[in-house]
Amino acid sequence: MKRDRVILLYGSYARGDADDVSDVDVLVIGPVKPIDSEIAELLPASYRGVLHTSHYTWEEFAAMSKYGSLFLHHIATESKTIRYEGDAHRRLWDLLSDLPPYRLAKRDLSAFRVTVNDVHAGLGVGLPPCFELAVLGGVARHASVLGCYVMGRPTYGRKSIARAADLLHLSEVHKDLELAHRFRLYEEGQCDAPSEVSLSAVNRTVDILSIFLDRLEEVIYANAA
Amino acid sequence: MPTLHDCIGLIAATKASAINIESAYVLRTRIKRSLLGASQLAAEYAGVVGPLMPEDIERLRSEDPISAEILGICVSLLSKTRSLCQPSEALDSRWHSGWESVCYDLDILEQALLSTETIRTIDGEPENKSA
Repeated sequence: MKRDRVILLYGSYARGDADDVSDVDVLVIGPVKPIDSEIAELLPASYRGVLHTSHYTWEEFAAMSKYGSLFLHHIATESKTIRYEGDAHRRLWDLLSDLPPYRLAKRDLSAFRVTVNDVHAGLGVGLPPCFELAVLGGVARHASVLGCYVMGRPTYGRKSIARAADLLHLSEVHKDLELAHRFRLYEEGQCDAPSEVSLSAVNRTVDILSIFLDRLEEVIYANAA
Repeated sequence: MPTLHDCIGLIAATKASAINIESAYVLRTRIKRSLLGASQLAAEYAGVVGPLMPEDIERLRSEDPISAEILGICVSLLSKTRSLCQPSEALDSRWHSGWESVCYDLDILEQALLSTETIRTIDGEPENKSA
């Protein structure tokens, strides 16, 4: 029990659609998180992206499974086991095989709206527009993953933005949201700065994302009815 | 560039959102905003170029002791925020256990920021030490 630990690869490298800005997403479940160099040794040398390791204890993972964590749905759909010790593999799939539907969509939507509104506060005190655009890019990605899920078309990669925009009949805005997400990747050190950012570009993205969230809210509340 | 007053306001907004600890998603961004503002102020105080993104804070160096202290607190908080809030999903249970420590560090950051104002006033340079 004590030594049960599983190391999983998920995201673009697990799906097989990694590109030059993809990070290497690794999840560790177990009592102790290994150091990154230990994980890197388990990965093929051809994996060149920035290593992002998430770590959860079994207790945390079990708690997430109870509310049908969207992240756990992601893991259940497209992860690959890199290594496991003890009884970890069985414990993992016991938790993943019977996940309830995700039920925190309304709460997430509310958090997305607050975060989008906060961007005005950041710009108002003179924080860099590129940071605020990265914030919007993060929300765009998370809202898109949620949107694809609630509309019955789970998509977890960067393509989720285009897919969600299409499903919400907003396909004309997906390029703006993808550009914002590119700044999120820049923030995380996965690519160079995509371009100069103006205040008007950030404000335009706020407007687009607000419409996106309005449409998503309609879907979420219609599903709940 | 945020003023001292702006930075204190950003920290206050962060603490205010923690009243509802289920707002982990909001907190994560508000903490980043607070740290970015504070580190920009510290950089200005030290006469060095400020960061554009929170991840740049770790690369900043300052020989000025007060700026260095502020940057050190920011780096520590950034690290705690990463651990508390995984890249993939805000994890409420960790905020329940870790918020106290983050809040304590935010208080220290606030005090360190306020100390720059005290020193500026003593120096007779209330606006910009590096100017």
